Amino acid sequence: MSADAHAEYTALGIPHRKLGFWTFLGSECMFFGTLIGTYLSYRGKSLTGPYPHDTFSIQVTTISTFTLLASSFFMVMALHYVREGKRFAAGAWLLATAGGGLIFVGFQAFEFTEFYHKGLSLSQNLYGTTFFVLTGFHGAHVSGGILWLLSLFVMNAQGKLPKEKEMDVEIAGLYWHFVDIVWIIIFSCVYLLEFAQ
Amino acid sequence: MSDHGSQSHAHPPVSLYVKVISTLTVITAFEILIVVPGVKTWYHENLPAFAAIVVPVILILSAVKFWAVVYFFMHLRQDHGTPRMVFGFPLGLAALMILVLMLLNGHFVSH
Amino acid sequence: MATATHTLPHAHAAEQTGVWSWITTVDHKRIGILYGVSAFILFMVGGIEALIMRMQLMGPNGTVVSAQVFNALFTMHGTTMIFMAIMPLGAAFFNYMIPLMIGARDVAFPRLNALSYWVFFFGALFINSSFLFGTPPDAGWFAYAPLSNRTGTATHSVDFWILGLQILGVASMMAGVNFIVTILNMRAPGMTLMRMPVFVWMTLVVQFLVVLAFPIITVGLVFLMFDRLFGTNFYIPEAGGDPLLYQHLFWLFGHPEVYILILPAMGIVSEVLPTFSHKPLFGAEFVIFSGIAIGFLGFGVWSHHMFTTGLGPVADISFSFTTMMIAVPTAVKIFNWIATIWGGQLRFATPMLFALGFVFMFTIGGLSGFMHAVPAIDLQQQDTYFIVAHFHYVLFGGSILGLFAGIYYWYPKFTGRLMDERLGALHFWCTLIGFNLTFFPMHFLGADGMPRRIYTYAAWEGWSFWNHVATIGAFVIAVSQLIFLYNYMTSRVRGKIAGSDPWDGATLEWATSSPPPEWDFDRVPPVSSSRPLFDQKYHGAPKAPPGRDDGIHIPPPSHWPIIVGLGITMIFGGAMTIPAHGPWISLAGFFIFLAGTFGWVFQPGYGYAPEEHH
Repeated sequence: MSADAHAEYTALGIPHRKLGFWTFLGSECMFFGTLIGTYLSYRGKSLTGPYPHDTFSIQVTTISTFTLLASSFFMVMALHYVREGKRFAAGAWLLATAGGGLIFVGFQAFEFTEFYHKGLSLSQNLYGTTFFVLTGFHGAHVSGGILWLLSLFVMNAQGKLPKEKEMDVEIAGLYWHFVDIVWIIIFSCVYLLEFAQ
Repeated sequence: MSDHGSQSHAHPPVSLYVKVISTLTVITAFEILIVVPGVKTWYHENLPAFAAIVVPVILILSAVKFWAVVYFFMHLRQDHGTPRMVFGFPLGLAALMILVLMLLNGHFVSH
Repeated sequence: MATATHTLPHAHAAEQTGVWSWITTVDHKRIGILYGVSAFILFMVGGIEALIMRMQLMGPNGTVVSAQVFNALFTMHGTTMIFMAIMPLGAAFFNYMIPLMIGARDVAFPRLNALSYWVFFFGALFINSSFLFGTPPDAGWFAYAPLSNRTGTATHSVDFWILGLQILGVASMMAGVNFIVTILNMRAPGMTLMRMPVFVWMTLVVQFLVVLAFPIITVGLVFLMFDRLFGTNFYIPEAGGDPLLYQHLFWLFGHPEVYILILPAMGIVSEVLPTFSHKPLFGAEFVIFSGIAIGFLGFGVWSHHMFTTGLGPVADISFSFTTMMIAVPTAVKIFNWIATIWGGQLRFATPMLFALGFVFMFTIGGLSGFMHAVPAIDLQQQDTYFIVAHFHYVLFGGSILGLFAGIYYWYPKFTGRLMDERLGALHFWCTLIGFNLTFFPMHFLGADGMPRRIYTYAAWEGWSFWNHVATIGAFVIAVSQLIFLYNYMTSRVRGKIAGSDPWDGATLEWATSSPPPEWDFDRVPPVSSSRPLFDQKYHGAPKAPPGRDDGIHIPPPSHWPIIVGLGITMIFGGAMTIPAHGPWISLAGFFIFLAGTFGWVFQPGYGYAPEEHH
């Protein structure tokens, strides 16, 4: 990341870091695609229980899904206020986004513990294996994002996020929204399909 | 210093984002509604046509939500060209890979 | 200890010397040299592993090594050559040449570039450290489950392999993003995509393959590691899992990987042949589009590695079809290369010899590959030495010969001197003869039924003679590389001074001094075609004005990449000790990674700290 005393020259008119980050998100599509593809390929093939319908709770999933969705909106608002140079509002929305992520992760942890008490573990059967690894990696991504957002919050509080630095927040936003859309897919392919059938 | 390069675009107003998130919330609420056990039993008895298409409906609605977040929240609406390609192509490839993996594992085919 | 950023005063200080300056370098040229030297050392390590195997197989009932050691040798030979020799040799060229060829002054993310190298360095150290622990990887370079799973291999050998590959994969992925942004976004004004040199195009395709294919193997190996460490069931049939899923995920990566291995060499050959034929590349657009097609189609052929696993006729036919299709763009390239040299004023300098060798040898490898595309034939050939012959023809006869062409071609640029032509020709012919002596007979051995990965064979098999020949060939190859090393090192002091453009080249790297200054170009040359230097030399195109651009920015050196690289290595490497000793190494690595990342983000001269102005 070279410093810009003057605007960096770009052949495509897109900042390097933004283009680089979209490319990285492309690779993440392949990463989660493999995880989701494995989950769906193995769906229904667990030889022993507990099975998805023994464990899933629609209430918990509803809360965590709405929370993550809302946090995407909070992120958009945070970027908006960074662009306006409104430090306090930006900080508040950044914290709200991180908070939404934390609540989501909290509910995931709660869900994992509930499933464990119902007899589902990583090694118990094929369903436990695929479910925990898929949602676990997603949760790890959310956690990384929370760390990122909290760092931005601290930097903003120290006055280090003027509107000239808005691209840094935009890129964090790209990551956060991506983590949200992966959940949209997991939510439908893992949970909704199970409830619907 | 950020560089928006040759594309000078005004950022959309907050009201647009409020509209998007409201729509997404409604869609999500609908998705959950149609899998609640009571509701499920109802349309299985009274609207069998809908019961038959409930899975595609869920998948399509999810795709719509996916697209809305990418297009509006992630600004792909404004960022034409290369970002769309470096994200869109892997997305398509990943989707294809998921389908082929499922096919190779015996899904979609009746035995 | 990072020096402040600086814009160049008129009389500049020479780039610093000393070990620390190399450890903290973010200069793409130095990073290229680091990759090149490391890769060549590892190439020799892989070569020694091969020589020991050839000694063991020289005659029947060999007693040079045990079966156990032999397993480790073929595993590490393959793993080393693919991930620690060919790929980083390619990376050496990407690093040194790409910015020069597109008229840029560095890559898009210089510190990320350094990080890629250090992660590669630590990863190579990690996986080879397994020898010191007595448990080198020994389940084959692809480590199929269930052999590689928890019941198939109880020692840490496979853990070293899995984690080593994950570390190396991280390095490749970061470089992938870096070069994609560099190539797309840092081209000099006037250099449209279709005016880029073919080597740059092939590199772009390769980086997309890396970015798309590596995540698949990352997940596949995570599954295997979790099965081994945490008792998950991804590849456990008793729980409903499928070992074949491992093969699918491995080859979904593995097939694009072989195109990652060959396309850079194809790019080099596409630069060398026109230069030494004094003719432009015939059908350059077709060569470019074929490269793109190969990359894209490469994702659709993977199960041709699995024809003998009982996929069923529909899958077999589908993949057979796609595999045959991919021969088309490959053949297009070969015809275009032949058309390039046809009727040209040929100069048989060493780079040209290797490039021609590539065309010839790769074609042979392609022909045997085409045979494997037919499932019925592959049923006979799979897991025999016929396959070994095929992939050595394309990877050695192809990639390695192509990479040598690149070394001889660009040696003048990065050292300022020419290599000795007679020694170069000697190296080429000895290598070519030794190579064919070693691998051509393997077609016979494979057709005669000799399986792969056996540590010895009985005298009555009738395989003794050709094995003997192959071993002699292997030693010829080995000795030939000594000629190369001698030439490389003596030419650095005694070679003829090269000047900026010793080969009468057409592309931008020849428009600056040899070696280039730290900032690559005094002024970035104007570009209005795919052969900008020819335009200037022969068609009266305007040259860059004399003097140097103002305000050239040189990113300061940084010690954060090596620190972050160490952290990443510890996170992965430490996973192996989790069941026995807990996650402490990984945890320590995570904190080092975190601390390093924060240091990186806030390093002065790189964005968050105010710049010093002169």
